[in-house]
Amino acid sequence: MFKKRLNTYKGCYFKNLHPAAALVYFMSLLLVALLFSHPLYLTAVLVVTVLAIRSARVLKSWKTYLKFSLLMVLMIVIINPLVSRAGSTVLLSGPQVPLLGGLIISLEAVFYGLAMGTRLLIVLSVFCLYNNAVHPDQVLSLFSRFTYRPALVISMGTRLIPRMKRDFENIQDLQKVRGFDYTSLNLRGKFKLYRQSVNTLIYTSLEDAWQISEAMHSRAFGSGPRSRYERKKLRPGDLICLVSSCAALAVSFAGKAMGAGSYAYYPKMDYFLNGLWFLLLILTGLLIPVITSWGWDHCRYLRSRI
Amino acid sequence: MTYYYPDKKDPALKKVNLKIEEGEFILVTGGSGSGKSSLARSLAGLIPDFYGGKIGGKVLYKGLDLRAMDRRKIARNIGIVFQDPEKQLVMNSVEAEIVFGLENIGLDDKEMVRRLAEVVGFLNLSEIKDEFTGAISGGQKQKVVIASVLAMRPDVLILDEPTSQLDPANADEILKLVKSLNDEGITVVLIEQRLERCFSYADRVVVLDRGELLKGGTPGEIACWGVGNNVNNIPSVVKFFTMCNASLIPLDIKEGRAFLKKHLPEQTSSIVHQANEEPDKQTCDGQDEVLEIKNIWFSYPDGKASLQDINFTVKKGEIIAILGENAAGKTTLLKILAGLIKPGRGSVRILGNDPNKYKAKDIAGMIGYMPQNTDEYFFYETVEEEIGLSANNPRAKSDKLVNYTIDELGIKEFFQYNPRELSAGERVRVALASVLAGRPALLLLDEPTRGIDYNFKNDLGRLLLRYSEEGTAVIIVTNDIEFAAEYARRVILMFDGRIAGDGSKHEILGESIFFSTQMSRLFRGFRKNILTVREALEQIRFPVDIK
Repeated sequence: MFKKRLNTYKGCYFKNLHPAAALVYFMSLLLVALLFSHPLYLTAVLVVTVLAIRSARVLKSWKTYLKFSLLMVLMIVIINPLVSRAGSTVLLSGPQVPLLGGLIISLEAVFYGLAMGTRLLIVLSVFCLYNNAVHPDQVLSLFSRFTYRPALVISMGTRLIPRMKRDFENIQDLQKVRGFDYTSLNLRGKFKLYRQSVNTLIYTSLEDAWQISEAMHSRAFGSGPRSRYERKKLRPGDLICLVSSCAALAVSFAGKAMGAGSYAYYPKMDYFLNGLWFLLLILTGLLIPVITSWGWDHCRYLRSRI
Repeated sequence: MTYYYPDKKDPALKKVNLKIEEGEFILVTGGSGSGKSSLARSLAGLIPDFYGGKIGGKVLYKGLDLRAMDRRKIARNIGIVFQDPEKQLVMNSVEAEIVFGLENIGLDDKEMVRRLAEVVGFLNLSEIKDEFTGAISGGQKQKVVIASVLAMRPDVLILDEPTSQLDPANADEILKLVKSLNDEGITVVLIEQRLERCFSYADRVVVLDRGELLKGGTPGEIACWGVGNNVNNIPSVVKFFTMCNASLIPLDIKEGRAFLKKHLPEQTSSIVHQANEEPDKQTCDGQDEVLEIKNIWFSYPDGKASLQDINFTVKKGEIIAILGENAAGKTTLLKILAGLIKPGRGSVRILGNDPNKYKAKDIAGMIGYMPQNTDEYFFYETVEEEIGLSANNPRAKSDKLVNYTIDELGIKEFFQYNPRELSAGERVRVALASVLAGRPALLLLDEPTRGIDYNFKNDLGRLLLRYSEEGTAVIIVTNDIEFAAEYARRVILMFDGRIAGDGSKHEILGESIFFSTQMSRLFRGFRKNILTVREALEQIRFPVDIK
């Protein structure tokens, strides 16, 4: 897992952003996707997210996310028209289905399913972007000024949870090699065996935790107020990202308050091309970091300036 | 100083008196449970501050009682590095790990940057500075841990078996680094069981036994005393020259070779003994094949070929050592043999059958597998249950050899203990007994000598020879070359997932530079086929050739 992430956190604009700037940008992508249900808004945010993923050079990792994301999107697109009765443009009506009643598939339900699927795809894609572009220690450093201990626990968790998973696999391997066979057991036997392996994992993890805490203690952890190492300083490139993201968010909230970008799917879909000005403004804010990233990649002077 | 861990009747340290001068390099050694780690922890102020328990006496640092000192002050002056780097790393990135301690003692940003730059430069870590701590090698991890301690600029550096998890090349690098730190003026207290690589670095060697300070002196004094008192972990070069009653005891290979050049006649065909080219005593009668591996390939999901075109056979009674750098594919190969992972290509036949087609309980009767980390091996509340589990195997019922094993490993006294209450060395004994009690046809041991003392190493070697005589084939993955040279007959050297060498131990270990024993390196160019002290004494015709 870690080998895949070698060189993950370096080499492009997004990965060099100050964690605060990166978090605000990712948050603004998420919030815009959650604030608006308008299909054009959602499509636009998805396009910007994909462009950002491409600029951050995490397309390969995104493809892995896509595999299960698309499956979930497909399920929403299929299930929503089957259970929703609110649409008025009936595309297909069919026989009685147990639990669902009479089968009615409407155009509005199909589009609503697509919109929700797109929203889910955006959320997962932004998560992928965050996971691959922001180093967890930088986030820890950012939050440590407010809540150091919880942030440290989360940071250690990002490393220890995969390790516990690996340990658990090792334990089950050892059970197998010592003659414990899950396949030949009934449910009670399986549960007993499973409990044994969980016990072993807990014992092992507690012993490991003791050793880590001893190492931390020997390096004066918890001995009094601590200072904070600023790994990243705010640079002009971070400010560009921060300002444009905040502007996009402000326009989004203002637009939402003024009713722009609202869209009704049921009973009949609204006119498609409303609230375009607001969309254009939001898009500009969200696209500025992507454009800056392009400049970072292609202009050495710009890179050195920002 | 005397110290009792909480809820323990026996003291971990008993009336220990030790004075360490500024700038000294102290090597602390002793068997399992001798109190080495407890001594290290007490010197670092962790005992009793972190552990609790009862303590009598004091540890003074420059005249100040450690217990009266502020924890930050202790951390600034005394740094400690433990065995397993995996269990010391706190942060996700190398840079954050190095500054972790500096943040804890409240240094300002400028000072932290300065110290970071210093240790990164000194330890040559700039290339991995931004890496994930999980993505770097074991040797690099240990270097990062040392860097994070050094960044605090301690006067005293305590290292508790820092190389026990490393391959020979990485271990060498770490020990040389420690020596260079000592040369820079840092006082070093090194706890070690494998003394081959560090004996000559020490100004003073301290031997502990059952919590007591048994003997202290210069390496030369300890060598003479050790050989006279049958202390096993004296490095083979020192042991050899001491046993030869040499006029001067060389402490390392360089000194030893200089001595040999002066005193030993050049090699001529007439004086080269051929005794060691004869087959070893291990039985291979009948030449029955226990294991056959053909054209094995394996890749992990990241696509990197972990094993490439592995072919070999193992006969009944053979003891084979698999050596190689970390990540050479040794453990992966062992897991394939144990039926835990399926090869991408190729076939494995154990006693003529494919292990993947067997049920788990049938495999357990055929193969005994002991992993590197024996902590994950225990599923029961008592040692007796752990061993009884494997002994329930039909092959092991009322087996004299199993009883012999239990006696030989000295674990009867622990039968009612929870395995997790035992020390690391004792756990390995219990895990080994549990594996052997199954009387497997093929025994697979992954780093069995890691963290165990020299006496147990001898017991283990003897047991393996005994099982081999009974027909059990043994494959040992190890970085312990001295152990491989002593007990294996055949050595397979792996590199980058491939077999780089497969032959008798003399063929493989006699030719190598890193993967060779001290004696082999000592006698290169002087005598052939010498890997152990025993072989050297046989060839040199003690005490005629050397004086």
